[in-house]
Amino acid sequence: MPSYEVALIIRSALERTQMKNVLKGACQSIFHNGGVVKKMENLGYRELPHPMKSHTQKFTHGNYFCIQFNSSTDAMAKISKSYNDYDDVLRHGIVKNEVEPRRPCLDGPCQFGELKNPDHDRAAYTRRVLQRYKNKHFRNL
Amino acid sequence: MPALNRLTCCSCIITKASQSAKCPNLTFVRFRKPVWVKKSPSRIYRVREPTPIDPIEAQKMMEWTRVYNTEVKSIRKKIHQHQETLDEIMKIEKFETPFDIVFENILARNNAWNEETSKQRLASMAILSEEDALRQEKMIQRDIREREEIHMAARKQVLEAQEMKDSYVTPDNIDDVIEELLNTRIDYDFSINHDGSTSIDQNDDENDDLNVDKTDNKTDS
Repeated sequence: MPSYEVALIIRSALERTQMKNVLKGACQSIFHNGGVVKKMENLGYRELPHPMKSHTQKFTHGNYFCIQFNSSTDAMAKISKSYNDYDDVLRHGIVKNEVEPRRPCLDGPCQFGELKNPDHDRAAYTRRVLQRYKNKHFRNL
Repeated sequence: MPALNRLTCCSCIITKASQSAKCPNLTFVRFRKPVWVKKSPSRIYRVREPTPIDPIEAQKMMEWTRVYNTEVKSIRKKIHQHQETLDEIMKIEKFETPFDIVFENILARNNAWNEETSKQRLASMAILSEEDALRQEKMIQRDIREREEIHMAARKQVLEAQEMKDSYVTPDNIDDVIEELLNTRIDYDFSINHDGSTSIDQNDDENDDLNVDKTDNKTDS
């Protein structure tokens, strides 16, 4: 199952119990769709980048939370749709977590920020083979 | 048009005045009328002076051409006669030799040619088959290597997940996790330098929890 990270912006004027229920509901929707929650992070109460409107109300501040979970692609789409039904969730965004490549300078010589393309060798090989084929068969044309 | 009177030739600059003295074979095209313009009256009845011919050179050339022509003619005649004799021999052979012997000769020559070409073909096919076999072997080894890498990566992921499973959020411990979550806060507002160290801006207090009132800042819609 691929790993995803969802960033939730929850309404600011909520009591602690209400906030807990919202977060619990967010996690329950992941559990119901066969997902696994790995980690949760609280990024705090912050000003929104721009005034946001949600369910006929405008907001300028919100509580940011990040939830890292694993689920299938279909389940991820269902989870995203279920978050639209929550009144207290202003915005949500799901991003796929990709494995960060290890810095080459930790294992060998520094490559000055330029990582080698893993498909380069195969592309170069196919180019050479095609050139040889062309030279052999279409030399006289 | 200043450049027309001068010409660079053989890395030396030649003027028109010095043309006849130094390079008699060079000609300069200064101006050329189009074809549809009528000839001027001064040039209609103009007759060109004949090119001067050296009489001694002309005589020598005529002699040499005569000698050359006779030799070429004799060679051609010889070749023609040879071809005629060959044709007569072929005609006689055709009538005198029976068809079976002729066919056997042709067949023998054809078989010899076939054997020679088959040897060459088999040699080239052997080389190609060796290359094909090598390529197939390399492809198989590459597939095996890639599958092993995929297995290793999957095994590594499974082991990492097994190690981290205790820290996962489950329906049993979700209440405790949320309680702890609301009491803590993580801040990613920092920058990373080239050497990997992080630096935090001390003057950034915009999003400090303690300084901001947590009210629902609703605006009239």
